[in-house]
Amino acid sequence: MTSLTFPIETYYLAVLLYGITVPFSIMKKERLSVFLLKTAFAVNLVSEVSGRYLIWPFCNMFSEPFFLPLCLAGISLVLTVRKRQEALSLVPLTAALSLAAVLFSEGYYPPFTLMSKSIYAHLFHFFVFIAHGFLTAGAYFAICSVFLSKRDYISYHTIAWGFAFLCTAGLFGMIWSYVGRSDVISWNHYYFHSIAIWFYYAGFLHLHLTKYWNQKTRAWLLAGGFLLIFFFDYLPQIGGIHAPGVLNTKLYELY
Amino acid sequence: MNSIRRFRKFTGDTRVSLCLIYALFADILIGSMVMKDHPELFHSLNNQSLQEWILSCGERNMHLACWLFVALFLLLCLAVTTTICGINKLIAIIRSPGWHGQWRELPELAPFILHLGFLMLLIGQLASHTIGVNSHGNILIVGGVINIPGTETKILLKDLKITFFGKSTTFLGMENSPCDCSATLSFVDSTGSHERRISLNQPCWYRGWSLFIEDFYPKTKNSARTSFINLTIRNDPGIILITAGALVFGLGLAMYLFLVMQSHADKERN
Repeated sequence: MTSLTFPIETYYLAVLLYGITVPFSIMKKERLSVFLLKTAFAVNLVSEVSGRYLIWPFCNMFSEPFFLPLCLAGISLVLTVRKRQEALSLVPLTAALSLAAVLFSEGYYPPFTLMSKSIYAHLFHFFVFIAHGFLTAGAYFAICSVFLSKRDYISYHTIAWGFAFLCTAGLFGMIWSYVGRSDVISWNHYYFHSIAIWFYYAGFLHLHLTKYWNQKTRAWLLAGGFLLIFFFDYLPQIGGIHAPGVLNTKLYELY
Repeated sequence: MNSIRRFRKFTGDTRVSLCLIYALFADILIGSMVMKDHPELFHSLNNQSLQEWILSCGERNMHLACWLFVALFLLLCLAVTTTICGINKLIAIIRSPGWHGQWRELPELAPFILHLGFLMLLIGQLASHTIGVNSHGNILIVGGVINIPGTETKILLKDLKITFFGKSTTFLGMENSPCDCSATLSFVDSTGSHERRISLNQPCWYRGWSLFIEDFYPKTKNSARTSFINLTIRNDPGIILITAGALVFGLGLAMYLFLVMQSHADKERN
């Protein structure tokens, strides 16, 4: 039988591999970087799958800090396959976020709630974590392009995919809330700040229809979007630097 | 005629929609912070229709609930601008010389379909929270009978099974806590008796009524007291529109992604 510590140990290994990839990606050792990134991605995936398997059918709802590096590494690898020069620029961000989950961990296993015992809870969290990965990557690409004075082709594309995943997550979230609580809306702050973030990105995707659509505005708006996700979704899920009680039973009571 | 044209021009302006979207963003963000500090005020919206809640809680706590009224007003305005924008966009696409009504041109309709889905979702939500029946606190013990509100249909709890985590569970700290709750309900009406299974996160449906397990007892393994379930009984006319809206929105989204990928590929070629 797989030990409960297996997902955490494999995650630590993935963090180490992400860390080793960083200097090689900066030195532009492309083949070695891609090999290391693929290995780190595979180990992170094993950690994620085993962690979910061990507590199935319950859902690890607040595991975004452990999932986000996996998503960013996945985006990097997809871009590598597409031979995009931005592909490996995501590696330092991936390594930093993976390390944050280790240094400020609130614990890998959350208190288990009966509300989380639903396939829709799994689907909702899977898509919302992927969406946050794409939205984070999109902001990162846009800001890098501004600072490096390069033309940015990729951020809008990445954000469009992120928004699509966010909408898919929202649809599964509605079903999950309905079958669990008899209402498609969850009347709690966690749901409503997610809705606020959805409107923020919906507004962003309409901006190209106006004269305010230029690379700089786009980059700062995407940085704002990233900060919203960071403060309202990411920070409450990690420990250490947040105010005591942010991730306490109150958050779990909602579920 | 002129005023109608002016109204259509104003509400069809993308900048107006954008202002509304960002106003909604700011309002809902503020609202979520208010909710965090006063969860009990908004929690009752789970059990009440919007108008009941406004009369019982919202009116008395206007300073805390005003963001919700502003959000409702902004959503109404956004629904109007979305409709006008969507119609304008549809007319522009169909009238454009490049449009021949062929299958491969369908992705161009993606924004219209997305907006249509969004509108259906909004109207469905409004219907779901203002009309229909939302009955809470329907407690049943095994063998107990209650009526579906306002009907002659009876619900009999035939069987109730609550399972618990064992002592050697791998789920840390969950020993003797409930793991699942499932029940067999029998609906008795003029057409006879019809059985349905219900469990946590798996509601059951009967002739337009939906039933959900809201709560159950006991919550610990060795309790000697009588076990019961607490049901929520709903007749929600909005849910069909919400489902249809979600499907239309999903379709629009898939078409939109196809458009985005196509334009990206075009940009890369150039």
